[in-house]
Amino acid sequence: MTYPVEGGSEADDETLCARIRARDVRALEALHERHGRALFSLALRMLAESEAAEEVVQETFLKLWQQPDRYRPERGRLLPWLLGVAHHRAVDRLRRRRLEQRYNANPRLAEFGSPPPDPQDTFVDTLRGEAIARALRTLPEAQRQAVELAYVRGMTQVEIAQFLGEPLGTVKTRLRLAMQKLRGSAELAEMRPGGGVP
Amino acid sequence: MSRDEVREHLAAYSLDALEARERDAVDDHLTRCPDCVRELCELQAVASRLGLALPEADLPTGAKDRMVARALEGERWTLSHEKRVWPRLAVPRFAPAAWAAGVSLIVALSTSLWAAGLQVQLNEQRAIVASLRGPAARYDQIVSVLQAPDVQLRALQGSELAPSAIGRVYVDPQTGAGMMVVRSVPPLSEGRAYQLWCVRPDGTRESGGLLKHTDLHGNGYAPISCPGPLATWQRLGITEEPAAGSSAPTGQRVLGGTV
Repeated sequence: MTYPVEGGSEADDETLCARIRARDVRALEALHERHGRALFSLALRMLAESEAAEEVVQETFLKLWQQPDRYRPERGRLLPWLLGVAHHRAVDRLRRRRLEQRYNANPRLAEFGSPPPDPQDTFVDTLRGEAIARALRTLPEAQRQAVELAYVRGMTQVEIAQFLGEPLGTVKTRLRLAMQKLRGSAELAEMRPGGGVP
Repeated sequence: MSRDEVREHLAAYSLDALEARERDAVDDHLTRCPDCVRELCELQAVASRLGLALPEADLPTGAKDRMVARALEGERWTLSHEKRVWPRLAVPRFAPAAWAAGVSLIVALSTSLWAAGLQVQLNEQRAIVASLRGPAARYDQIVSVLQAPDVQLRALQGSELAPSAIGRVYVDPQTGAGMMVVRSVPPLSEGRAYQLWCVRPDGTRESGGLLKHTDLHGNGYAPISCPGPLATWQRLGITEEPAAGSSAPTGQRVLGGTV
């Protein structure tokens, strides 16, 4: 999967990061053109609100601009790192939103901050990446659901346990087993650090 | 947290599914365990693949420009692609007197520019000193409170809004001056602050101070100034309020404890 760069910048991510360290704002623009859409897609799916999703993307690139050394190339490629930062920011917002709902005694609390999933639009079915969708389909439904609640809806293990009415230990085990299986999946071998994530 | 316990948490960590306190404990372990860092990197790569596979959505128009504007806000920067290249000028022939006059003019201009540059630097240094005065005064106050021989400590517990949050109030029991420290509270958004309330036995509340910044994990500290001796207060509480503070609590209690 690629996110083409408008303007035809051909510099790779590492080169652009080096230019960001030299305070070249054009490099920041180029990375935004290349990866902004991926980050926005993730944030929008989690927050279901365009303005908030754009702010998450902004905050992610601002972090790269202000603290470029926080990205360590030896630990993996830039895009997964950016996605990790954006995910963390979006999770913060979701948890804050839930807190505010509790704060205002809003009955929508039960929705856990983002719209309830459409039964016809399951997480796996919406995924564009065939490899990840195939790998997820190999998981038991309960493990797949735990991963979705954690990753897309930003719930902690404790919140997932409350939401599902399951023991916390069961939820922890499901998440651990699911991620171990996905990590070991031949379908996803390319994504490991040094692998083929674009 | 032992290495085995941390490894049990890495999958949830990679999905951002840990409570703040658990995340802090894992972060602490990761600073000294390259094996766990390696394992976490692999799990985070899996998590990022989930993100990459989500349905695509187009960024709103102008998103890049807004991001760049924020990045450049208040920062000195140089566009590397806009470096000025001075054209090579053909040097005309002048009489010696004209050269002398020209050199004098250049020296005078250079001196003026140098003086102006010094003034700019001086103004910058003054601005830096002024910006450091606030934090320095805050640290002075905190150090003086902690050094006081009879400093009192009161623990605050998270309410149902933030069950994993904890707070500490260090206070001089006579003057009411001190500091508050919070951990794992919901991170503050722009324009919001946590406000400490001192509650009298009759239920009336008075502000003890504001905490305007927390980090991403909801940790922060701030000096406080309780209105009067500690003995006149029965309970302490912290609520989220507008950044300027409120005259009475408008939000629900996030932390609370008895005096």
